[in-house]
Amino acid sequence: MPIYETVFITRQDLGVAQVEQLTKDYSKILTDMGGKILKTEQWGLRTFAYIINKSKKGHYTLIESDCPAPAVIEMERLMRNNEDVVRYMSIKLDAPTTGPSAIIAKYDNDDRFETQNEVA
Amino acid sequence: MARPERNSAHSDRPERPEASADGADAGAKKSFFKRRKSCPFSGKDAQKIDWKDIRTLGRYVSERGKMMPSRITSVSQKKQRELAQAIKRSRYMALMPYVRVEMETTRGPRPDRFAERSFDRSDRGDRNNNSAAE
Repeated sequence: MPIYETVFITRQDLGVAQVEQLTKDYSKILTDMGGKILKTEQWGLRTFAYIINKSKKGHYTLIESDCPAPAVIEMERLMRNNEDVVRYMSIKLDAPTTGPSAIIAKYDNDDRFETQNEVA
Repeated sequence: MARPERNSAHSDRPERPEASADGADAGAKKSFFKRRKSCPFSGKDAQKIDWKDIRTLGRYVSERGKMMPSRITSVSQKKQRELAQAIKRSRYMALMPYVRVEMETTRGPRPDRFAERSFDRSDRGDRNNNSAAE
C-alpha cells in the first residue's frame, strides 16, 4: 500500500480536544478501511501566511498513513463535508518519514518560534 | 546546472552582477561572488526538498514571495521543479504567502504577522481570547 501524508487545517475556534477528536475520527476511517497510521502530529495553532475564510489562524494536523487509496478518498470526502476543516492536502510519499516533520523540529531548536508554540 | 561563464554569450539575458544583485536577497548575492556552481539539493548528503520545511523554502523565494530563478540560486533543473512544487504546496497550506505585500525587514517566514495588529471587530477579539484560554 502506498504511503500518504495528509495535512488538514481546522478552524481556529475549535478546542484542542475537538481537533484531537477529529484526528482520531479520520485515523479510524483509514484503519477501518485496511490502513495503518504511521504518524500523527499536532502542529498546534499556526498563523496563516494569508487570510483563509476570513480567519488568520488554524490548527494544523498531520497524519501519515500506509493505506489503500479509497481510504484516503473517503477521508478527503469527509473533510470536504466538514465545515470545521478549512483546508486539507494529501500527498503520496516515496518512503515513510523518520522523526518529526520540519515544522515541529523548527520549534525545538529555534527561539524565534518559541513564543508561537506557547500560544498553540 | 552548470552556471555559464560571465563572459559567455547568454542570448536572451546577459548576466550582470549589478542587474540581479539589487533586487535579490543575500543568498543570491553570495552566489554571484562566490560562484557556487553546485546545486544545494543534489549530491550525496544534500538537503531533502520538503514542502513543510518553510525555513529552507524561504531562501528560494524573493522578498515579495516570488520563486527565485534557478540561474540565481544554482538549483539544478530537476530539483528546481521539485522545489517549485514544494513551494506551491506550502503556499496552498498557508505556510508561505503567495505574495507578501508589505516589505518586511527580516527575511524568512513570519508566523507572527498578524499578532501585533489590532482588530476593531469585537468578535475577533473574543475568539482570540477564547482560544488563548483553552
